[in-house]
Amino acid sequence: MKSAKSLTGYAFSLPALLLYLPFVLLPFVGTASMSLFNWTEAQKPVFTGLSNFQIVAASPELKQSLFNTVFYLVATIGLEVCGGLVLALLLRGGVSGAKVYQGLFFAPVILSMTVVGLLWKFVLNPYFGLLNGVLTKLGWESLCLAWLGDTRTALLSVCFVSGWKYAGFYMVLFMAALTGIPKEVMEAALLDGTSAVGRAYHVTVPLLSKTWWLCVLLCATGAFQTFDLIYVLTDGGPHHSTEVVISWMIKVAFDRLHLGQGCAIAVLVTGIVLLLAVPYRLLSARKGAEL
Amino acid sequence: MRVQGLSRKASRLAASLGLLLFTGAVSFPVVWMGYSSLKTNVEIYQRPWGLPQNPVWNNLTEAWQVGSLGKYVGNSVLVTLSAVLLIVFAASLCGYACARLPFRGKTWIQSLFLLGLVLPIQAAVIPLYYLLKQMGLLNHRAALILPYAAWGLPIAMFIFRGFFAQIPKEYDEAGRIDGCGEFSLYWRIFLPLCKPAAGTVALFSALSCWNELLMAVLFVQDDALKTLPVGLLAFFGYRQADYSLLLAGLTLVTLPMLGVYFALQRTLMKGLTGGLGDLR
Repeated sequence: MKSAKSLTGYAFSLPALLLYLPFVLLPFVGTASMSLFNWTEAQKPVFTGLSNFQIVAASPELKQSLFNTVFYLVATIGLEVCGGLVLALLLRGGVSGAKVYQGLFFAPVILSMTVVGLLWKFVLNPYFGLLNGVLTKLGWESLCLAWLGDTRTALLSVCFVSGWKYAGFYMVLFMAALTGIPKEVMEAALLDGTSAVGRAYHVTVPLLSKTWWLCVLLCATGAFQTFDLIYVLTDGGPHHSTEVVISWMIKVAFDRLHLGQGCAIAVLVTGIVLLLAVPYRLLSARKGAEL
Repeated sequence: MRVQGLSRKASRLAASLGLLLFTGAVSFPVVWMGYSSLKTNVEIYQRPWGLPQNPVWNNLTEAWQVGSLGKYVGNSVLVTLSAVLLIVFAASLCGYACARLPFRGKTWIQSLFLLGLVLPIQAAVIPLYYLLKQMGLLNHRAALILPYAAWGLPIAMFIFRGFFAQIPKEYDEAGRIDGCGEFSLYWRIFLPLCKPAAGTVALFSALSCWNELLMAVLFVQDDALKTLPVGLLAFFGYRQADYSLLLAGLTLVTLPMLGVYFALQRTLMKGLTGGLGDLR
């Protein structure tokens, strides 16, 4: 009876494993091992030890794309996580129609990055875009720029588009956490005569620290996985000013066909993401949190 | 006390102002896209944000045809539907086994799936490309369906496991007395019970399959099989300067999505805050 049952356990897990092992885990074994080979499409792979890593490490493009990724990371934490927190606090302030606002702000989250990127390419278009149109109407013509075509503004513009899409996502996470704060705590602060800003700063924000760190983690690991938005908006340009690690990896592997080097970059990305995510997961598991 | 009331009024006003500002920032680009899609190219250039003088409704039908959007939507529907069915089936079976059946490899299987929650999908695409090539699957719908399903599994499995673990033991016993075998116990009793979990899983997986770009760009080059995001990019590539047409195409793709969203809003947000949304 017992062995029959355990056989059923294996049989039931089989379909999932048949998908998961070859299409999720095997590619990572592939990435790790092929990063040690000089692998181009035309020739047989030759074992070259760590030389791919040396080439990648010496490349000025690594520095540039890592810098851009970290810039994107910091900017999106500011725009999305802080923005989402502010929105959540504003909505908790007792405005009428909070549900409508919430629904509206979350809407861009479900749109694909492709659609969002293409839409914003129009909005930021230097000749007939909405943004420059508005600036002209306000008489600020000197501020009309080629937002995505200028090395000084391209990366920041990309970050703003990401912020436009995701602020609502973090807002919903913070809203959920805010409803978890006991009413008594808020009432006590109200009775003490604390102002709205003081209440937010001294009471609400510290109580949200768990959610805050989750959001920062999602944003940070998200930055090291960003591809879609860059691909649609700028393809890394102009002059690599918006190149992030993944867009660079794709170019190295699929345009220049240095597959081994591409895998070395992938190993680097995997390492960074795991380094960020695993300690958080372990810590929160120990504390008995859900996520 | 009066001062406090006043300051509360002021802060409420400031809050409303901030919210209205963000509402404008979120909705106006979409609204602008919608009405601009009814303009002519000349009008778009001359009056970037004016309303169309004579709405050209024809733009919409033309964009649908010229962009072959119907074909791409069809492909996306096929790929998404197949992947979602695979995810719901395989993840619920495995989640059921991990929650309710005693077997030795259980901890192992769960740790493997736990790993899948944190691994970056983008770092796997290079070997995955060559794996699919070896299997002869490149440029087939399966080149998207199978990886989408596989990558959707970890989170889905844990949602199902959590759900199945909550169901009381009596259901097992009742089923066994009725003479159910292991599979029919799962299929006839437990699967119908977990409809809400299956709904959440299906909704979130469908969304991420529908929107996926990287693998869709790499694994399918045949235009007849492209999914909507890649097809849309292709359309933008070969009609570069035809702005009214492109805006019309974009509008056609975006508005139905927003419609579906506003219809399913509650379920979506509940799924997200229920613990395990993975939209990012």
